[in-house]
Amino acid sequence: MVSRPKNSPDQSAELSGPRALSQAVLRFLRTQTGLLLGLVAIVLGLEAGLRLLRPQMADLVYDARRTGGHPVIFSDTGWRLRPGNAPPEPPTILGLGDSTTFGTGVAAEETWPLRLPAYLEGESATANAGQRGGDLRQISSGLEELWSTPPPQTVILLVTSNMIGFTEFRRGKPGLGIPQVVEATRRQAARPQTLKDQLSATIRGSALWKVLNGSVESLKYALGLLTHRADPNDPLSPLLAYGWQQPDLPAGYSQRMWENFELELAKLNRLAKRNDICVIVGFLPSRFMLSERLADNVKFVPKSRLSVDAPKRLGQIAADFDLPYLDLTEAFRAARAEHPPYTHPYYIPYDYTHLDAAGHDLVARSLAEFLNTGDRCT
Amino acid sequence: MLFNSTIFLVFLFVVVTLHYGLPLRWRRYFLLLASYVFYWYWDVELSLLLVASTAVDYLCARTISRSPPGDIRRKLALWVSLTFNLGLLGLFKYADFFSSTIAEITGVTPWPALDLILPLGISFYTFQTMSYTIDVYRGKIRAFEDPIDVALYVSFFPQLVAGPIVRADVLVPQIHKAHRLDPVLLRAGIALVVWGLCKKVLLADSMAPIVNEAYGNVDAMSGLALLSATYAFAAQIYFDFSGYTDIAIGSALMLGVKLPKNFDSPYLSLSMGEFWRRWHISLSTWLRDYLYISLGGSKRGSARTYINLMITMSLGGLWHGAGLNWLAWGIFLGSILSLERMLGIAHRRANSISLRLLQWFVTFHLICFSWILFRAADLEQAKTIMHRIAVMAPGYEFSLGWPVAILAVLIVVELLGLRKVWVARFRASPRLAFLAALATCLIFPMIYSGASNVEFIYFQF
Repeated sequence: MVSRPKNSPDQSAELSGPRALSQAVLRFLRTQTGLLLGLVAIVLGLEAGLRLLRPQMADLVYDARRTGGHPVIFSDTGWRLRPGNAPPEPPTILGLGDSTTFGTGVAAEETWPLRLPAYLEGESATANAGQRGGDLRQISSGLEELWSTPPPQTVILLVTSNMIGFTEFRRGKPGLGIPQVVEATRRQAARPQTLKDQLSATIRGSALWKVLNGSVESLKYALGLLTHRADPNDPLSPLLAYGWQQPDLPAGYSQRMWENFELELAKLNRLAKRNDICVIVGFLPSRFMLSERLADNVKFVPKSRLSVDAPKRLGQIAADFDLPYLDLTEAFRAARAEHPPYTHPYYIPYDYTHLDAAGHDLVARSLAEFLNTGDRCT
Repeated sequence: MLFNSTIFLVFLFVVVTLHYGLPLRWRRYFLLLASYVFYWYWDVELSLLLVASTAVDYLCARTISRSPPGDIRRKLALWVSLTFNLGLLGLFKYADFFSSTIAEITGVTPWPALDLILPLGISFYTFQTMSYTIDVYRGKIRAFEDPIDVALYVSFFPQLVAGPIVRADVLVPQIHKAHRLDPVLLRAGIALVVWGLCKKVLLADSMAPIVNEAYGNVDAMSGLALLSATYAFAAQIYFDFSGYTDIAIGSALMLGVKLPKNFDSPYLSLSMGEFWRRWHISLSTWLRDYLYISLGGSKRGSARTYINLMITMSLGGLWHGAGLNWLAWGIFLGSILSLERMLGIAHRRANSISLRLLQWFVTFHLICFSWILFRAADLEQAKTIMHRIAVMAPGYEFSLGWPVAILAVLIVVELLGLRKVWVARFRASPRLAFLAALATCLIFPMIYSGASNVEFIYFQF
């Protein structure tokens, strides 16, 4: 199978030891310099091409710090601020939510709470109180203390499937309070950068790396090397809110998750009512729920396993509490239909949860239309 | 050290580079050190078993070789070697199984559970060392004078943990001869390593989630889902084990050593006898040469042949694992082989294509049936799976599509002989940089990002 073919052009078979090795290395460098230079040129060309043609690949795919390179500045209350801007005191509208509200991968001024005043009729001041990885209990914690000063008139809670999952997953476990989150982020930002950090940031900051990373992850899902399977001993997955079916999950887990979310929402509602605040609930769909296109489901979520209509379920809960409710699914579908296919995903590439700047703007526009149409809070 | 890890690729690169960079007289010592480092990466203490096995078989083989024919010391040395190696296997692999089985039958626990860790590769290296002593006893080879030769034979890292099981007269002379850096062999080795990694990472591991979920929740799964998972396992075990073997053969080839092939398109077999000649060839030939033939083979009449087949296959089943399902797997294979021999279809191929297709279809499904016994956690679970498939029980559904697609890929690759084409392309072209870069681009990000962290199935044996 492996016998040497006749007239083999290789001469190094005659040599052995360190001489053969050094000669082989030298010959390789001599003969393959063009190849090496070509490879470098290809890498640089691809990077330049991506930055020119698909700038969102370099700017918006979230990086190790999940900010897409944008600075993250907090107020002492844990609100995300525009660089150099103090938050309005007090805001009339407070945007509550998880990382999709906080604005993972986008700049503070691009997030939906801070885009909202541009579309609202009349004067208004807004603040972004989104917390990355926050569940509803964590998101609501500290609000009562905060609202002892003049409270906002309206709170908009943007719900995602992540938030519902976290609410059950973290039940009974201590969570990080707002001061700790703020402190940790400030500490991380202040940490001096070593050469290794800078090198890593340069590589990870390149568009090519991000495309490669995203593509490999997508391929792994396609092949089944990564799956959406939740750990039965520690179930946590954004798909659970959609009624993800898995035979070894605790019985009724998805149901309990929704019930706990309902309890937390009831607490927030009571708190808001005591302070005479209007709570509006919005639902942000996961990207894979928007269409049957492969481009919307690059992580190959097997949708046949999803058994709960999450926006409908949330709508029922909101109706039980008599809270105004906006399901953003149709708004996203309608906005995407206005453009040629695949050109306006409104989500960060390779991410089915987090919005890009256009997505945040669309949420702000949709919420403003909802608020501008009649008095939602009577 | 897993073959499908970044650290192994680095290790292999360093070992091959240093191997050819070192003066000839140091190379065997270096290879021995590298082999132990490879094992130490998993466990240091249990490598003492390798040392013990090497020492016992070195001394026994020398005693046999130096004693005149008929001398009692020859037989005594052989028995010491066999008792030691089988004792090691018995202690680490079968002690708890026998204890619990006896307790189940008699109600008396003969000895408490030992809960010993199964040393990596013990089933392989004990069989290998036994074959060395037996070959010396049978006069097929002379005992090696240099203990380094025996130590390298036992521990040569490419085939240490999951074979192929090599005979001493095949491996050791090559280690002595492997003096020159041969670029053709080097390229062929790289080609095989990349091919094996593709099989493992892209194909075998992609079947693992389906198999694990279905076989881990048997009672909740529908019959169709379990059938789908069984097809998936058929693909997984082939790609996993043959992928491992390709990496082993490729790694050895890069060091100038040609290991024997272990697979020969087994899923194209038209009978179970043919399958067993094409699957894990080094084990089936070992069982044939050292067990079946020792029992008398087919030379003592039909009835004795069938009994010998049953004994050989049952012990072959138990070699894979200590459990009743393994025993049942061996008995099933032995029964089918006996039946084929009885009906005279073991070596007969149908004339028409449609009959051949039917023959292939039946054989493939018999293989899949045997895989249920192989993969199930125990005999009870295997029975449940078979029952649920037979009655097409309702339950959690799985698509048949992905496993069948992967199996179709497998059949096409085997029919077209793409492995040979791939290796030949590398061997023929000194400018392999482009192909190597292409293959590495495909596979390395997967390995680097930890996608393939599933152990090779045969590591558990």
